Amino acid sequence: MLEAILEQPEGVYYLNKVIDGVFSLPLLLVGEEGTGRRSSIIEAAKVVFDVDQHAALEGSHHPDFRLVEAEPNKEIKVEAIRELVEETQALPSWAAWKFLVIDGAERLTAASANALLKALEEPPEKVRFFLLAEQIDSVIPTIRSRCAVVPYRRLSEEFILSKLREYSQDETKSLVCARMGEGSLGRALRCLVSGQLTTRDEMLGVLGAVSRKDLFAAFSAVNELTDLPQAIRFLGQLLRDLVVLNVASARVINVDVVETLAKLKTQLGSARTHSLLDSLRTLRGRMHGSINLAFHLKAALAAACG
Amino acid sequence: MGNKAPRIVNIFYGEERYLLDRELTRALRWPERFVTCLNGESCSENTVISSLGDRPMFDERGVVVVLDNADSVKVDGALASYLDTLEADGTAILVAICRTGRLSKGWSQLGQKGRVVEHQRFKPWEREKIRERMVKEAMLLGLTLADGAFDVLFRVHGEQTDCMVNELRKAAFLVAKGEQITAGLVLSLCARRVAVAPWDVSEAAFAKDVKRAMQAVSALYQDNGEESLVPVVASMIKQLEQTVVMRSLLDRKQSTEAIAAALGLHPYRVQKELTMVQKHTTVQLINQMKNLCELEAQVKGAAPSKRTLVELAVLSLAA
Repeated sequence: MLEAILEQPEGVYYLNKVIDGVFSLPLLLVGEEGTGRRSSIIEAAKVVFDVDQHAALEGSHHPDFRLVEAEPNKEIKVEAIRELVEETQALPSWAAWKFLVIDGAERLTAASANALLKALEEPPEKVRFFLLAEQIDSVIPTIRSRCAVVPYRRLSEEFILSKLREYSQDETKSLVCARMGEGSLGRALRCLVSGQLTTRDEMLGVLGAVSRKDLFAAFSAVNELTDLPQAIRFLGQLLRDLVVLNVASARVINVDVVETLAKLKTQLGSARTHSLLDSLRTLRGRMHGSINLAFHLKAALAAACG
Repeated sequence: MGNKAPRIVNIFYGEERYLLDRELTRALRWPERFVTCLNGESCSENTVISSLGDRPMFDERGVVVVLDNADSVKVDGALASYLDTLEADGTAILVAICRTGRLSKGWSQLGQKGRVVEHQRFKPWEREKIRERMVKEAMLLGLTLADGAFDVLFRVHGEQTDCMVNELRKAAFLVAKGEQITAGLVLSLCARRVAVAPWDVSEAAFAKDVKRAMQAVSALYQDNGEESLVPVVASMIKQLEQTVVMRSLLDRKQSTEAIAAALGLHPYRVQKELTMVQKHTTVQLINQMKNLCELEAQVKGAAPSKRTLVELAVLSLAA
């Protein structure tokens, strides 16, 4: 069972227990986006649901499989959770159990979490709860303590690469995207198909401007960026590449721009690279708040310009 | 509207609100005519034409259509054609008030058929023109304006002539006709505390005017409590960002015009800002960026004594 779930032994172990009926405790699947948490639950549901129900499951209209998820950058509101809890009162329509999934457990408001607590503590016999979160620390402790925590690991580069090869023939681009995904197939795929390499190239331009101490050019480039969190992620990867370029070249992420990176490394120098890395680390620590990301990034770049 | 034969088309436009309001009031009180008032925001070109076509039932000499917010009415030739058919005997008169700095093409063409009067706001550097206007306004109220009185008005209200006129109107209640409005009187009439905006804090801090900056923080805090601190930090961030860019371009020996072009600002504004920018070094500004990042995270987070943190940041900028 669950052969389709790859590289997640803990996930397979716990989900098998749920399928066997040994385990009725809610599961909290913790791992980065794109590591296969949601697809694992769907695979488990496929085992429980009859084959003729699989099409409905994949089409997201199976009456016994409910998914509640947060909209981008928003919290899960209490109304959605109340509706879900109300659903636990009714028996399953087609299958033996109901699968109720909450994607984004860290984004439950205090009211939403309170509305869920009772149902999590004593789930009805025919209901199985699955909660998904990216970071365990961000989940409210009262929710955390009522669930069995299942860690989802980052996927291996080989695995991601094998999946990307199904979409692209360009081996170098696939390798870059696989490494940029940093263990997340979802991120790697987005990188490959939605042109995010352009943002990476823009960040290379920003680093070039910093190496020339051209604040105006660096700031102007930042103003043009549309997806700042992604750009900051790419900047971090580029800086990491600059650090490992000579010592562990096999681990460079952006293998397609090695020559540019080598030039940048000389121009930027070790001290400024490390200073920028430090500033980015601080910035990442503040990113969960509603800060002015563009300004914080500019401050980091300005400090590196010296 | 005087004793001369009235024009069929009278257009008043600009951003000087109180002068436009005055024209509107005058038009609405047009003697011996049937006056129709329309609001451009809720009528069309056809409504204006139809109103101009009305004829008074009693013994008035004609109709005056006063169209406020005329800029909201799209004129595409129908009104111009209709006005051409009217005889220049003053049976129908159109008074249009456009509350914009520039007339649209349609209204400009209509203006060629009659009178166009511009009421633009004065620029900060047109101090003498503002003085002349205020002297004139005082005369209209039957008063004279002492030399020092205008200086006080300008210091308090800058180029906001509508506010100055309000002060003069207040003075008119206290001073007998033909007498002089003195500086002391204006000072006692002006609001004790001028309205403060978050921008005032950053402007004063960057101009290194510690007292003004701290007073502005205090005033904002009194009005809105801790809620006022986030906009203050945001305005400081915005100002700092611009200052850093200006400073870096200045360090690269760029001219005022080049800096203005790069930032998309008017050279006058850049010139004004550069005086302030020169008070800071690049290193200082970069350090301030780091400080403001920390401050923003603290103010938007759960830090205690947020007011003190903001005041310290303001002091550090202004010092």
